[in-house]
Amino acid sequence: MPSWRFSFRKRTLDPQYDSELRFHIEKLTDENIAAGMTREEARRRAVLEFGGAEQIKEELRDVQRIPVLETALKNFRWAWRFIRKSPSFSLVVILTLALGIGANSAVFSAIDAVLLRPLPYPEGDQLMRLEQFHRKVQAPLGRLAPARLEDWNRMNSTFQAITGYYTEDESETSGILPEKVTAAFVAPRFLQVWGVVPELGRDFTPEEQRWGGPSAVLISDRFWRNRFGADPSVLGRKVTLDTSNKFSCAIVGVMPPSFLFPDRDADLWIPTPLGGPYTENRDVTWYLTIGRLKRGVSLQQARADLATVQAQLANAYPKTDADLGVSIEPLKETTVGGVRSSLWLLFGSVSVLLLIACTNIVTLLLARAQQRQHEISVRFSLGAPRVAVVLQLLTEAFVLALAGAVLGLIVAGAASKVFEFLAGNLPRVDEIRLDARIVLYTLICSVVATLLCGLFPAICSTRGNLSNSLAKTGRGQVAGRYPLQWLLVGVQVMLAVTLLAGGKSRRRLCWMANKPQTS
Amino acid sequence: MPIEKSDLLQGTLDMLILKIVTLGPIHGYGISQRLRQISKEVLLVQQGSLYPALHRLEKRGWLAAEWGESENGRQAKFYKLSAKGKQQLKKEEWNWNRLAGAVASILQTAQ
Repeated sequence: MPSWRFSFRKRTLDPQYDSELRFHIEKLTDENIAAGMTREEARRRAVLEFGGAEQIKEELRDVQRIPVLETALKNFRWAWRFIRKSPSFSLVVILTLALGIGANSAVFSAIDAVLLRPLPYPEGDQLMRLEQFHRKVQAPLGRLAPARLEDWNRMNSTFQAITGYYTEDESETSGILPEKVTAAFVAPRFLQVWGVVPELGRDFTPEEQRWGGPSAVLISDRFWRNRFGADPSVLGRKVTLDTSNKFSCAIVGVMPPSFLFPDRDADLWIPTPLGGPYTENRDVTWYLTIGRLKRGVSLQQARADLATVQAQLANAYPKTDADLGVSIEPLKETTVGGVRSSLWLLFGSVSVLLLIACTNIVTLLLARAQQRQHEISVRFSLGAPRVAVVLQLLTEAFVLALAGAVLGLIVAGAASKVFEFLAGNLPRVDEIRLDARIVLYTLICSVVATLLCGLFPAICSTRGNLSNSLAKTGRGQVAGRYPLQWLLVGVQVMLAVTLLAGGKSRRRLCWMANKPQTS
Repeated sequence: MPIEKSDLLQGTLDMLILKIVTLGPIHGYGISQRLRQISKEVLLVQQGSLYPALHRLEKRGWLAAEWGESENGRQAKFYKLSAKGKQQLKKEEWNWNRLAGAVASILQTAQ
């Protein structure tokens, strides 16, 4: 008995085996006594005649065993043989599934990266986007005056910190050739809110964030590599901006490559100092505002808190603050909310596509099962239980689906490139990649595809009177055998029409995603 | 000369057991006795073949088994034919008769 064989219910039935066999021995003993032997002699002869009870018990245990691994291996071997025997059939099925599963996994990888995963910052769910709005006009003013930002940050009790930023395109002229860069001018506490530290160097000091203090700039990993050749001694060197008024600032740090905020074009982060002549004006609209919630604070609490804060400011500065309200939304929502329904719609479409692929394969497998009716009948008549035959047919479908899934993964692996190409401005598009979650999802897809494609043909082809089909010598007529096949064709047409209708919306997604996003 | 199980066609023992059990609930010892008596001592089935076969048939659902008191007052496991087993027996008998007929006619023509 190989020890790697999985067993179920191994010993629980042993007492029953014992008493059943003991009964037999006792009856033999009785028989011997009736023939005139002494009790001991009769018993001894009975045990001898009965033979090895232990060996019989082991065989009885064997009957109850389900050799899972052994059967599975055997099924896989047969499935492999079946695939090699009909390469063109298998290739058609595998390619069909590869397209179906691949498209599905590709879109899922986008959904996973864009919608399901939290933002790629530590505890990204705490990040909120704050906006002010005019209560009477209902028109969003959005951007905040520096003074009000500082008030909000100082007076609230639900945020760890609130910060702001705005971006400007600048020319950087410290090199031989001027270079166009995107600079983000940031309010104090910028890195504290993100929970990110520079990869090289340090955050801004309080002095650097005060009017008249030393100049400072953080540069992006990309800018560091392109402009400075990833020079580790870049700290302290100057960057010169020369668009409206020329000024230089010293590099104090390099951000990690994963930090792509406000967008992936941002190269420089420069503090806007407090206490300058213009920062007290409450009418200016400068900052897009981001805050990090304290741990355990809900969105509702934060909204109520900021509403109170703004009410106090309205009392203090009735002229500028009386009509303002505060809106707070999760940063992730404001980043990806616009594409959510489109992405799910796309996911629905590729799922329908997979369903169409599966119905196609069901038809193929049904036709195939028709040819194998004889083989299946022979197997039945040799005593194979129906479950075993169904399992074996399912294993064949599973091996095909698995091969399709592996090819599909290659398709999905190329997905991020495809998305960048087709929908370059899709938020978070550069976070789309192949990882364990996508592989797992693809595997689940292949199991679902196996059941969708394989179960029905397997059950159909193992139904019916087997001695009849064995006795039948002629070949069965395929046409008209299954009204079901007509049903399948109908289902396919239906799905295709659904897909076409959905196609219109998919084009809208591409158009939307390609539209430059205004934040 | 008695025929031992190894000489029996695979599957034939199953059919014989199903046939014996049609006569009513019976325990393993009884089955081996009946097989011997009815075949006039030609078929001697070893316990090592009989009990695994019984359990296999039970697991397939062709036999139903329950514990009960035997004629001498001891607990014994009684087997009886299930509806599924009845169908199976019919099928196997039909196949067997067909095969036996075919073999017999070949033996006769070749004489």
